[in-house]
Amino acid sequence: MALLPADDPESEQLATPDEAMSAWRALSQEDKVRLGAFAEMEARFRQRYAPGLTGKDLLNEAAVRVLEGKRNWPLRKIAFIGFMFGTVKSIAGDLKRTNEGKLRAAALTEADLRTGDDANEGINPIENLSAGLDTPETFALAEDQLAAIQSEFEDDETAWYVLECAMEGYRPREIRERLNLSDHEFDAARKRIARRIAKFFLSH
Amino acid sequence: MKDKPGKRTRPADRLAELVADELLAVSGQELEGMVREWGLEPKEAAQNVDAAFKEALKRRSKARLEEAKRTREKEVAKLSGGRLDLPTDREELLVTLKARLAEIDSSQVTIQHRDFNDLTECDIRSLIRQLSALEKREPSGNGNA
Repeated sequence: MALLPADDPESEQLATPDEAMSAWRALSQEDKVRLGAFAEMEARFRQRYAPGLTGKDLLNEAAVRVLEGKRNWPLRKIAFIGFMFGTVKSIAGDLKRTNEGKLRAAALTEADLRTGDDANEGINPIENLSAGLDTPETFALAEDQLAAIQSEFEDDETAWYVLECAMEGYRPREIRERLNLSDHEFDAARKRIARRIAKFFLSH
Repeated sequence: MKDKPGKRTRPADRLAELVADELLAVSGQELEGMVREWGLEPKEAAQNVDAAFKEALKRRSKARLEEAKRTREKEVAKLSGGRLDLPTDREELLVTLKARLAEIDSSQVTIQHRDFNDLTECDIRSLIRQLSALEKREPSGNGNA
């Protein structure tokens, strides 16, 4: 693969930790609010296998990794706020692998193989949610959680289908096409989902 | 249109993405309202971000300082040409330091005026090694210790 010159706009330029630090200082107040809220939300999503985890924990770990150069911001490709969202999400998602006592890697491998063998079947959201959970008890808990989330949208068919498609792994554009929704309809459904999920995780 | 996504995903990740997209799309009072629905005050959310970066910055500065100290110690040890048998007791270390200072031509060494009692054992050992290193060089002007 040919290397592109450093001044080529297509070349991947990674920010130094000092540049990342400057980007943090330049974040608007609203972007800081967004990032802080997103970290809190991620922590709430992960309470099942990381009880007691807070948004602050995720933010602290994200900031350390960025300033130590363990996570590098590709500054030509994504805005700093988007990069930080991705970093927080990645750390939260990695918790399954790093949490002591969890056999996530083994369980996920088994579930992945099953999906590969049944290539023509859709992905079962319950299997998805429980991927990486290694005991029947945790599987039951995940099923219970998914059913509870489902019940939040019994009166909102559009939001429910958007949610179901999202949990099966479809991207926003794919969901709009699949459900024949306009941008406005999809955005409105997403707004309702975001609010109701917030209420669900606050009360459970 | 694809019938199914090409990549296996996790529902929690997808939920997070949906909400993240919404967070990035709203602003002003709508953003604040959404954040409060998560049980968080907007100001607190922003403060958590700043606190995290400030703490990480402090940690990085401390790590750099310790690395610089280790590098300096290695270089001084190299200059002084190997191990020095130094006392382990702090008072004896101070005595050794003062003795070394007395031996050296004062025109060659400038020492910042300080109360030696404020020096740590590590500092005293480092000064002794630096003086030993200076002794092995030919005198070429003032050195700082």
